[in-house]
Amino acid sequence: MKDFFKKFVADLFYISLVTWLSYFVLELLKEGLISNYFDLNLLLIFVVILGAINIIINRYKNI
Amino acid sequence: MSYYKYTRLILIAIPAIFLGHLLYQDFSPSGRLVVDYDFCSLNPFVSVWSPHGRVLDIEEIKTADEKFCQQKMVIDPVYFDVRLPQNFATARLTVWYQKSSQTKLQIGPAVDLSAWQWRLKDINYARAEGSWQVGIAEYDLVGSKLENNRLRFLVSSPGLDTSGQEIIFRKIEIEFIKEPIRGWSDFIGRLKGFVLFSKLRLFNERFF
Repeated sequence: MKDFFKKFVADLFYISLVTWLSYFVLELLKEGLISNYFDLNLLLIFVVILGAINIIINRYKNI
Repeated sequence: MSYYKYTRLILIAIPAIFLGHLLYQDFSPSGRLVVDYDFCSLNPFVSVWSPHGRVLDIEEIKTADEKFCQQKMVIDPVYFDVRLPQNFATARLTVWYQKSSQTKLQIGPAVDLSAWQWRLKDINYARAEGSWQVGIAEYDLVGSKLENNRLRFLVSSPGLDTSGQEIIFRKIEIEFIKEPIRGWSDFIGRLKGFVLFSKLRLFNERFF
């Protein structure tokens, strides 16, 4: 269960980061496509928090 | 952990499905887009009214029954922009306001900003909602030039500053309408419009 949680948080972080980047590029390509309906800053905050959690719980993974 | 790959698939599918939903909304196959601005919170489609000074600060009103925001216009004219995801044929504007019967009120979208051409129309009183008057106007948007995908509206009340009167606005709602997608030809046309409203048009202009 612990391994599952570690893996889950890591995947959630990378998928959220890729999602934020792709949404950001799409927003640059067509202004309003994302921001008219969804606040990208909320996703960015989520990514930053998840990144911090991921660093803490997967700290000793490669040692 | 074999079930984990399904978890990962779900994690990937959620943002992809959400993107599809956003694209669908932006594409608006029904040909209808409703935007409203109640002065309380910023709206991604509608800008705040400007210039400040001709419109006063937004006031938040709290009564026993309700809570709402309002903005007073004291000098004519004022402007606001609406960011559109594509071209539309018609706009139907509904506005909630308070003014005296002698005070004129006209609102209209820009036809050509560089030539300072506007499609101003008198706001037709439709009904009353409590102490608020509700007015409606309909505009033909064919030929209206957009700047950076934004359609500018002008709110006019000639002689407002000299008369010492004011107009109080509570809410505006604009319904943009165009033909819905009925077949492949409509879809291709809509797709071209989608590209024209994006930065992809720069590639289109350069290479085709």
